[in-house]
Amino acid sequence: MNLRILYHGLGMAGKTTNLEKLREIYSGYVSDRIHQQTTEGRTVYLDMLSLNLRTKSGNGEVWISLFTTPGQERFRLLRGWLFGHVDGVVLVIDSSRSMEENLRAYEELKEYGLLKAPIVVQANKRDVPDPLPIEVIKETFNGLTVVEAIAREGYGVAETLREILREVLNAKAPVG
Amino acid sequence: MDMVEYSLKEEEIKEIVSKLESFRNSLFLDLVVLMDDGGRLIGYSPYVDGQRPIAYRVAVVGAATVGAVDQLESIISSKRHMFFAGVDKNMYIHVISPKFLLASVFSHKVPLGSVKLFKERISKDLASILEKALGRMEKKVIRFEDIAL
Repeated sequence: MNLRILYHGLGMAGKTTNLEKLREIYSGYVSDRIHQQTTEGRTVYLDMLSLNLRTKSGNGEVWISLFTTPGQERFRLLRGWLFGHVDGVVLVIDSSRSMEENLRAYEELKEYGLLKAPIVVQANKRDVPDPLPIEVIKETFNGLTVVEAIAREGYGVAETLREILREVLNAKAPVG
Repeated sequence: MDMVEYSLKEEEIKEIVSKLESFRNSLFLDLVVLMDDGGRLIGYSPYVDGQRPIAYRVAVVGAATVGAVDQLESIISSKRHMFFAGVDKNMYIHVISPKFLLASVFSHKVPLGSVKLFKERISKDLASILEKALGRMEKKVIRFEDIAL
């Protein structure tokens, strides 16, 4: 089984940091890491971490490709392919910025018809002074799973991945 | 949301790999990778474990590149194939059908013309198998609790 998870959010929200931390946490499962970036370290197009997982029984295999979207506006036209092949989305919220700004990323999911895909909201940068209140985030994304995180410290990163995987696999499994 | 719109049976995958194998051998290619437009790896040759991560990367980057070039369609019109000349090796990607792509990696000793010539036949052979798989939904179910994470 091949699954594709997209990490989407504003520029500098911590999408690539999530992938970097996951690479450390699940180092034994990493099959590939691609990060095409500018000299300033900003993602241009492909930022992918691929994990190869086995089922507990040992006879099943799951390839998970985690992608991020380039945050900078000028790379927006390259998003078609990234948004077009998605099994689940992690919406990375930057707690240091206003909800209005963060909602721009959510609106983009709507634009690409991704609101029907499983979505997990990661409230990142919870360690900034005066972060966006978690209640506001939960209320705004009512009905979606919200995971608090400090991605650069690895806090909440694995939990986010597990949550989105759970939702994606549940969505694919037959009811009953 | 991405819906996998095809599902290949075990025997179809074997048949694909065997066709890729004979295509690679007849042209002395280094690697042949069949993928879908979303970068999912379907088959590759040589079919050995050591090649799998490389084939996987070729599938993702190849499909992503084709996806990016779509944005140039108003300038170059529809694209059917792409050629990349590397220092040591070349890569030729061609579109078998809107959903499937084939990438061939080969040394400079192999003429590009021969790859272009023989790709027609393999495309036809693969297309007939892939067409049958289209519309069949993926039946494999893996539950979250089954994953060793």
